[in-house]
Amino acid sequence: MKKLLQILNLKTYFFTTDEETNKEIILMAVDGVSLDVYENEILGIVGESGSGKTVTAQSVMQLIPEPTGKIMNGEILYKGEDILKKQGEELRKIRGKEIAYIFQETYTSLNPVLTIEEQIVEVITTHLDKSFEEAKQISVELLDSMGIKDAKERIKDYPHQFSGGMRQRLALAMALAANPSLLIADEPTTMLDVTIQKQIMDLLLSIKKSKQLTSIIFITHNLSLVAQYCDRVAVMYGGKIVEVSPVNELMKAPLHPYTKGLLYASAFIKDKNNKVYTIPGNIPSLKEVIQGCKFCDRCTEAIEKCFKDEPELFEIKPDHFVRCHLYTNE
Amino acid sequence: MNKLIEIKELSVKYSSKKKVFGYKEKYINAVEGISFDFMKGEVLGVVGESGSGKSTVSRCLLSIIKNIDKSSVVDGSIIYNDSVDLLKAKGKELKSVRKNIQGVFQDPDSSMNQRLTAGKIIEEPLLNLTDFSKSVREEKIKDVLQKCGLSEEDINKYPNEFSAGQKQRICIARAIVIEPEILIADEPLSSLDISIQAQIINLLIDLKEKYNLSIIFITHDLNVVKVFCDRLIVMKDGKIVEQGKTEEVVSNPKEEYTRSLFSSNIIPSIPNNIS
Amino acid sequence: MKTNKSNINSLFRNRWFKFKRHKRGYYSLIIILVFYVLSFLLPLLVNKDPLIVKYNNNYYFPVFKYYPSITFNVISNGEANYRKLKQSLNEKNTDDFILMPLYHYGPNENLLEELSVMPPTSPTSQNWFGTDDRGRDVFARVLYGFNVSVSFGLIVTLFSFMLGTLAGALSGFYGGKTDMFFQRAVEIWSALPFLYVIIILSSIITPGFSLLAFILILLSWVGITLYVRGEVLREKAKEYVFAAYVSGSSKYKIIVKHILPNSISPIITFAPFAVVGNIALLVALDFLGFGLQPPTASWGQLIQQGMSYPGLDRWRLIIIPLAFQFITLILIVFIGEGIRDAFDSKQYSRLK
Repeated sequence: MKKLLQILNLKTYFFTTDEETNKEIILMAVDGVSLDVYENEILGIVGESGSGKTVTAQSVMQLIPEPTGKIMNGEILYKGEDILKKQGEELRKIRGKEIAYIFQETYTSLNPVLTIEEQIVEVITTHLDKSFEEAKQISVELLDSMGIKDAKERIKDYPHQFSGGMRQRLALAMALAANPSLLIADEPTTMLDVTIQKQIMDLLLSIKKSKQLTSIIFITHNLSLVAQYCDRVAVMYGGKIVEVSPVNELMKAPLHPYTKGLLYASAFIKDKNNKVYTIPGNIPSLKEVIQGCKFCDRCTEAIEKCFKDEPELFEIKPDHFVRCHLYTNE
Repeated sequence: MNKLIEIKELSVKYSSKKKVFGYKEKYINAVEGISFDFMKGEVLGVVGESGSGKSTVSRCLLSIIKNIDKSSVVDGSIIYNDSVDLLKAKGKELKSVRKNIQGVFQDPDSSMNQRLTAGKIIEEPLLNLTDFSKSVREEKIKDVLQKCGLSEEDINKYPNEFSAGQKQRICIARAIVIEPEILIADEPLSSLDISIQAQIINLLIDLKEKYNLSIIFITHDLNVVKVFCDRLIVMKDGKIVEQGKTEEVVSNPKEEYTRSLFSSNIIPSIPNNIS
Repeated sequence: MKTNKSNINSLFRNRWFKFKRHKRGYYSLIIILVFYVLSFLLPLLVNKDPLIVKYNNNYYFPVFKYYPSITFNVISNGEANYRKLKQSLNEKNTDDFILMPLYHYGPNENLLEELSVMPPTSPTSQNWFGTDDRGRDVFARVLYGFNVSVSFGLIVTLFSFMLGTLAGALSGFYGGKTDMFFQRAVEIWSALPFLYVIIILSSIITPGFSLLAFILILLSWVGITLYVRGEVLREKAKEYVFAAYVSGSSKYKIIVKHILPNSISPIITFAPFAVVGNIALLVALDFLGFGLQPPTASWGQLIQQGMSYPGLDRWRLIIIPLAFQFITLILIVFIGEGIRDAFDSKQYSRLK
């Protein structure tokens, strides 16, 4: 399968100062991430807070605020071209037109003081060669295809006049207005009710099938949604990718101890002592420097090597990658 | 099993428009005429989405509904121990109710005063509701911290020095330091990461046994209820849609809504390589 | 994780360190503090009364006590002129001595006898800034004026903020009729023609320091009320307040222990600017003649005198107090900037 997006060894760090000592603190939010997105797939990126999943996605769009954050290293190849090298006009051609992004918070995607029409028309007229009238017409059709009733009247409303789930549909409409090939959806369902989540996910699925949209990166911490809607999934921990595999394989036979822990913890499975299976310890703060594997101090299956050397991500089975010493000898 | 709490025809209305010199008020019905019982020793799950009214129910149970919104109109009764109406308790009666009914909230950050140390936060119910001397209070605080997986040194630390899971532990410690009979847990896991949620649930299971707690557990996560709740109440739009034993409701949901709720949020398969 | 050995709230500690990093604000704070504290020692540093007098084997402390001039065998009204006394004692060459403060002129002392020309006089090596139109030493008056102005600013700000915070807290917390009452009060109060009220009041009763401060406090308490009300409204809806109710805290305890400490952000950020405003107000009122009256040392009054004289005297009497006022106010503004940065900073980042 052809690769739509290739992230190669991405490193994005954030810089801040300790108030008391005046020393600079470096937070390694994304520390060497390499990930491929193929054409015609929904790739899930799963992780908890601090895993680096959002920062990875924002690095793709170069949405990292400077000087607090900086992309230190890496290449991001979109259809073969390194988009990290793009600036100004060229970057604007990619953002919105080729790669679209929707946020967890609908008010980050939507401007509360503009009508829906104004916002979507802006996207269309910026990226596509359409007149104002044409753009308006397209907007209404777009809203309709997102499942919003009375699109022609409602398009003149403001974001706050819609419910949370509807707003996410609007954000989607805006994202898709310029016919991008790749959609990055950063936890679009986290703030929504369970039944609405399903609706939005079904909508995403149908969009991928029908439109010119080729692939979707779906960032979440909700494993059940990943299981139901994604083709492949990447698991992140401590700014690195620890496992990538097709979804069914991951759900049935996860390899990395963290993935296992995450799955059991999500399902609240009880172990033999009638306790819910849990990952001991705390999520490490980005300031901590851990020697060896980043997960070693919480890992129940850790061996001596884990505390000394950091494992590399390698392909253990076709299309199944894992970063763990338990498997490196095989 | 005896009945701890009996809720009869509870209705809560919030006014949506400001009353200006006698205009007719418009009301939003948060909870509409619900009734259920809560037995000693059980964990009762209250499941619903946003707008279902579950938070309103928890605030009524904690007798703070009037403190939060003076203009809310509350009808019906919540009888505790066959003697006190939680909705009408005042003064000394309310004080003794609070000794027995405590709560944990959703967001550990906003449910603690960031300007107080962990010790002072946990001490508050002891100061207000008991007559213990300073040394006894200190003992109890140290004891409860340990039982919640924290240490003595944490007494003088401020909330921003803890991780999210630890913060929620402090909130739980605050709730159980006076050894209440009932714990109302209003979505205590929703703000936490998955791996931490499991830790907190284990803590609650542990504390339930140690302190002989009866727990009302409000949530929208259906994976949790299977493992923690004995009985379930499913709420939608302020009404009870279904209730019963957890296994029955989960495996055989009678209502359409319950079915749709469950189908969308459960991990489909358990990995077959559990160690 | 840091283990805090100190008991100072670590949120404040963070803000304090952040404030320290704002060099301008931090150094301004040090300068103002040092000079303000020193200004309370002015009676020992800038005064016509000596610290110690040894006369005829007795020790006297005129700086603290009043001695009629006959005590030192001087015939005049009231106290002796200690400068002249010092000169005469030095000539006599006995055991007696007088220890004068560093600058031996006082702010309220009439120097007509010692001056060769009609006041106001130009600066000399004796009177560094010359004298004003009553023959009083300008340098001393300007320094004492510093103490008066800053004290005034601080006191008015402190008490008006206290009143305003109380009103805002009650208004925000209780809502309903209490809120309506206070909001209307704020509106009515804000509509009062401030300056006219003061002018009218001070033409009826000539205010001293305390009375003027009192009037100003009564007129300006509404400044901070709405801000505190906003913060209280916000905090009221947070879960830690619910938890406090569940823990059995009384309403009073909730306001004092929980809500107010978390609502002080606007108070702290506005305070320096309020102080600046109040100092400027005092100078303006004094200038117009509706504030502190002579012989109290005040900058505004000196400026007013300057207006009536032509030539160099005018520039001297106007510019010198203005310069002191300017420096004082700008230092306090820097402090305010530093505080605002520490409490309310938005880190500016660019997105490409």
